[in-house]
Parts: sequence; structure tokens; C-alpha cells
Amino acid sequence: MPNAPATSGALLLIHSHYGEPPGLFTLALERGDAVIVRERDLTPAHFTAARGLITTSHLDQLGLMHFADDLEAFMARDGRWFFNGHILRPFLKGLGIYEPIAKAKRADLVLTRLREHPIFAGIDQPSFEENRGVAGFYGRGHNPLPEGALAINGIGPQNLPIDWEWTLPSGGKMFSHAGNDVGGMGGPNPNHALVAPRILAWTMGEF
Amino acid sequence: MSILVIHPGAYYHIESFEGSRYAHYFDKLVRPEELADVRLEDFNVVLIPCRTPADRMEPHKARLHAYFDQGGTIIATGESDSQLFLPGITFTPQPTNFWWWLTPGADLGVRIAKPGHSLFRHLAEKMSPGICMAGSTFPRVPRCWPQAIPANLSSTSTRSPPGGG
Repeated sequence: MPNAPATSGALLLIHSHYGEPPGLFTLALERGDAVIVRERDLTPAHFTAARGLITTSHLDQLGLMHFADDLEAFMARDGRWFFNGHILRPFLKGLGIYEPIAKAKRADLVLTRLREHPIFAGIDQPSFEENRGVAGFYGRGHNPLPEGALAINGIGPQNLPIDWEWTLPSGGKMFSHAGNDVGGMGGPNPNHALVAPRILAWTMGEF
Repeated sequence: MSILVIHPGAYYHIESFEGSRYAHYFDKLVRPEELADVRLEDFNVVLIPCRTPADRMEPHKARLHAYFDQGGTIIATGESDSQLFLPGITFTPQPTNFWWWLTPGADLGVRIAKPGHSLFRHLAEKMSPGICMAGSTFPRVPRCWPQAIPANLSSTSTRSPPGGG
């Protein structure tokens, strides 16, 4: 990778659902710097030791609120957080609550690249729209764009920011994907396997 | 009828139990970790929602069994590995067919084993894909209704997936 991480630390992967960890987490273990933590075993020390954090759409959002101070401190240490799902709790100052598209029709689910981003480089964003001819898996709404955040991908005719990257005033970066987990391996859409290693690299500050 | 709901805290649980659509059906929400602080016998029904992580329920196994013993009703829904913390359950995994509704004449393959159960006064076996709703709360469970039930939902999209994947 061209740039060394600004700080050291682990890639913290919060495993929320019961059962096998997601494919993205298994892939991350190959890096040697990743740690998968069952959500119920999470402690403040995990945040202290982390450089990057990935959460899935199954995140216990009520539970994470107990770590809000640890999360804030993690971000302020130039931490990076890749978030999947609908934000329904104010984890960080500046975040808004998820807004679904009401009664989404097919035209409301078109995807548009609004700004180039290394995670999505060379991938035609509309090719994320459908799995086996069905649209909507990628997402059906958006997490409101925090002040100063950059919209990466838009959904629907209004280009609502379904994906965005935010550099916090404190210095860390958060990437929000307001849908099903992106970067899932082995699914019907091969784009996910393509972006998976890039998500890991972005989360660890390697680009 | 008083209903206690286990609240594991994922976004789909938050929307289902705290959101304005359904919140009024529930008398109390409790985190799995706080089950010991609640008198289960004060409630007629305990609802354990879809995708409740089993390892957060296992510590309360004895409490749930005791609730059954004193006549309580538990509604246990899918993807929660209920067999790990409730008695008398054998689970047979099946692959999820996310695409059945794209095939004319196909259905999900679910059959009612006990048609006389009171639940089926309100639900029919034959679902219409025309009123499957883009499920945003329970990603893997199609949210469909029999043709005759909520008419106000009949205008929802038919080309959005019924579940995530």
C-alpha cells in the first residue's frame, strides 16, 4: 500500500449476529492485524487498541451506545469506522437518523456514483443495483449526510447519499453504507468480493 | 393481554419495537441482558424476535423454562436458534430462497402444519407476491400478507426484494 497507517492498532470487527462471522471478517483475519470480537464480549479496551472498526447491519445499536465515549475517543485518535446499516442511535455527535425511501419503486433504487472513492474505483455503481434481476438489496434509504461529509454514491432520482465518507472535526473518518452489508463474499453480485479487500484497507487507513 | 418483547437492539428491532407502526402493541421492551430484572410472570406473552442472538438468551434458559412451567406463552421467531435456549425444539436448517416470487406460480414452500391453530384465523397459506413488501425490518423474512389482508399495503412495490441477502 502506498501510505503507511498514520497510527498503529488492530482492525476491530464487531461480530453481532450469532453464528459464523461474515465473509468480510474471515477475509480480514488473513491480514494478521484483525480481531473478531463477539458483541457481548466487547470492552472499552478493544476500542483503545483499535486502529480501524467495522460493524455490520446486525449491530446492537443500544449496546454500542454504552461505548459512545470510547467510540468518540477512538475516532479522535484518527480511527476509521466502516459502518453498515441504518443509523437509529446518535453514536457520534453530528450523525442523523436513517431515512427510508417510502414505498420504493424501481426508479427509486437507481444508484449513481457521485464522487470517486478508492473503495469503488473502476466499478460501475449501477452494477450494484440488482442481484439476479432484483433491486433493493444494496439499500433502500440513506443515513443523513453529516455536516462536512462527502457523498460517494446516491440512490434514486434525488441522489440521496446512500454512501458517504465523513472526516470528523476530531480527525477520524467514518464511512457509512446505509444498506445490507457491503463487501459480503460469495454473494450473487461479484462486486462485493471486489470491494471487500478495499474496505479492509480503507478502514486501516491504507488509502 | 400484556406482551413483553426481548429487544436485542439491531436496527430492525429498533424500528419494529420502538417505531410508531407497532410500538403500541407492546407493554415492555427488555434487553436480553436485563431479563433477570423482569418478572416474566407479569406478562401473558414473551416475544423473542427474529435474529435474537442465541448466546445472549442462553444465560436465561432456566428462567424461560420456569415461565413455561407456570403457564406463560413464548412466541419464538426465526433465525434465533431457539433450540439453544427453549425446550422441545429441533431445528432443521433450510436454504433461503430469496427469488421464489420471481417465478410465476411459485411460492416460498412453507406449508401450514396445523390449520386449526388460532393464528390461521388471520393468515392464509397462499401468499400473493403482489403484496410482498420490501422488508426493511427483518432482512431475511419476506413480509407478505394474504390477498384479503391489509388493503392499504397493496400498492407497495413488487420489484423490490422481500428480504436481504
